[in-house]
Amino acid sequence: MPHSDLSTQTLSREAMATVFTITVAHAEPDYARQAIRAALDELDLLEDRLSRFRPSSDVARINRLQPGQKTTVAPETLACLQAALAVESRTGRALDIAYASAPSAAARIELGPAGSTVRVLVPGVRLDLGGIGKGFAIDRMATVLAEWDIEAALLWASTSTVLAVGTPPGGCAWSVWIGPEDARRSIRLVNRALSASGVSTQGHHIVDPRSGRPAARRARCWAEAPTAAEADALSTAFIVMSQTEITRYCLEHPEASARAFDVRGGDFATCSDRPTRT
Amino acid sequence: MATMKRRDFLGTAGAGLLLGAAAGAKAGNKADATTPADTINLAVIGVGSQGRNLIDAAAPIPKILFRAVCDIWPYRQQYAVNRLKSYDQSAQAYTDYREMLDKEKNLDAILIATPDFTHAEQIKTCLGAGLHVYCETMMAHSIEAGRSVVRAAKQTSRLVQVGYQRRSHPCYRHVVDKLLGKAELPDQVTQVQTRWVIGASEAKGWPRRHTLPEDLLRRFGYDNMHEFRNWPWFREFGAGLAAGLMAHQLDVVNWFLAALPNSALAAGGVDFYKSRETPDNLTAVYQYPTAWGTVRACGQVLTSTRADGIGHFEQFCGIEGTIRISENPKWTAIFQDPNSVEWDEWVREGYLVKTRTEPVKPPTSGEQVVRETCQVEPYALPSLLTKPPLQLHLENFFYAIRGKADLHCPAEAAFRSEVPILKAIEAVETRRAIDLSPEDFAT
Repeated sequence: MPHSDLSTQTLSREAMATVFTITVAHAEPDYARQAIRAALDELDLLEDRLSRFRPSSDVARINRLQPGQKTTVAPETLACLQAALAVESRTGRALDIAYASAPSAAARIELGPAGSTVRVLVPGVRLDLGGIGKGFAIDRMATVLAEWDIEAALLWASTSTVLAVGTPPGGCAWSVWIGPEDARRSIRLVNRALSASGVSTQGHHIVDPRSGRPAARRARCWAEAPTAAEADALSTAFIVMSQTEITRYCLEHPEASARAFDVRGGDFATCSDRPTRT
Repeated sequence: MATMKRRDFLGTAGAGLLLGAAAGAKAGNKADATTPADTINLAVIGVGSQGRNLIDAAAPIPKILFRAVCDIWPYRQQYAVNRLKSYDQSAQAYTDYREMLDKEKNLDAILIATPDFTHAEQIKTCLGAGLHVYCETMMAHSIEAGRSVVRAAKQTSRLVQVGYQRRSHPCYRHVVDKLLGKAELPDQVTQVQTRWVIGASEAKGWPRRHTLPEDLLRRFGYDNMHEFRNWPWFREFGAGLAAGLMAHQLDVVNWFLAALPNSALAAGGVDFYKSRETPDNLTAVYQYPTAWGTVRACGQVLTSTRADGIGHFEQFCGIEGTIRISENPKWTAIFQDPNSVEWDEWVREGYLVKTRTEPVKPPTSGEQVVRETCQVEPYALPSLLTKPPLQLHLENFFYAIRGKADLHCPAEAAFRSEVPILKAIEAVETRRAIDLSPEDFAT
């Protein structure tokens, strides 16, 4: 179908203390809106599972477990935890979903091996998926859209994480903007995600898990990755990582890239071997 | 227990819980050699969104084993089978539940999450096959169908639990047992409000490549995919928001007031969705004769925006305060009238939790300290919810099958909550007030 025949439909829904927005390009507007609704319905289910503020959520139940106890969680919860632990491992715990837990050098939780179970290994485990959950939700919604054979979509969690699926009508990439007000730059995305973390909107809300104190390395940074969960998690990690650490990470993981600017207002520090900037 | 065979145990456990239960033999449920003696073998009929919720709620419970799933839509069948695999369970998929009952001889209980118009027949067929049944609300699509389910349950030794899950929600049970019961708060209840707003959104669609063939749709009662996917919109299949949402809340009103309404007024219409038949906005007013006198309950189910800041709740207004309760603790709060007696005793007992540090009381003498304004904040309920309410309701069902609990919502209780809902629909359709007599609730 020629791209010029496609129109775009956009719907939003409030969840996870923010607003998610999906734009779909499709020749049939009604079909596009129904597909978006199906994706947003998945979002509601995920919030029930992942929110630590909901007392019956999977995460809240894990947080009440004593050492040695285990609980069965939804497959989505397990997948989100697996994604988070993978980024934790690759970043040297610059992302730590258990940062609010009692200090422990040992592993805090064990996933599986059979079924969809999580076992708590040490006292005082307090998981918080705030550094990855929104990105994970975007990926799950994109999976729903794929079931509907949607080939072009842009999925946002607030303004902080975005996943581009395919290309927009009449274009060869979805364009988004990053950077400070006076120095915006365009980023072009195709089947990739971009996420921002920072301290300018919600104050010093990101804690450096390695020091236990609010992160103050830089005002805002961006991470680009193949999935929204990874981009979300990496942007959280990058904001507490040093320039050297970020550079090394991107060299070792060429599927990811990072952009950051210093809290003192310095120019972008770009760590990417991929020519993604236009 | 050591000498009791599993099939004997499961076959007799529920009988004592049913009024007039016949000593019927349970047909065809057998343990295999690999499962523990008190494992409950399940199948689920209808694996749409609520069927998925049932799988997610039941699969984590120990000694619960899914054997089969049934849905007329292969897309959902496959989804359910895959989902159960992620819980290390394997289930056979069926299109027709009767074929499933014929072939699956190890079943002990059935979970039903199909459209409302199929419930009564499916429940009765499963009871006839010797199976315990958990059915989503509404239990029946008409008063006569509901009555027939209650009678069928009484004539068998099987259990029917209906999905009014608030009855297993620990916060709701706390209010009944502790606040309304022991503390007698908030004293005389005079008014009840229930409210549930859903966001206006698209009709449910379907992935184009998973469209069902017309002959299959017609075989199961639908003219097209739109009807199949949006069945609550059509009177032939369901009763819309009143059945899907208000029924849960009215069940709470009946339960909390320990009474049944004697009249129903209702107004509603199709205001947003142009192609639906059942009201997308409905307000019903019921009158309850209670020990306090007449209590009026106003229930609203609305299609507008979900961004209203107050959520969905059931609210009981009394002389000494107001109990506002919701499945979501975020919307639950207990408000104290400034002229009421002290509630400190109930805080000490653990019935209520103070969310403020300073009591706010009117000045009573010249010795009052003049200081900054204290904020009036409501009391909270203690944190009691540790599992999803649906899981708790299913656990109650499974405990009852094993003879370790009474059902929280047997068919009789569900019937008494569904009669007023169906009467409200009638009131909308006929534009007249309807009196309800004890005979309307008789089974």
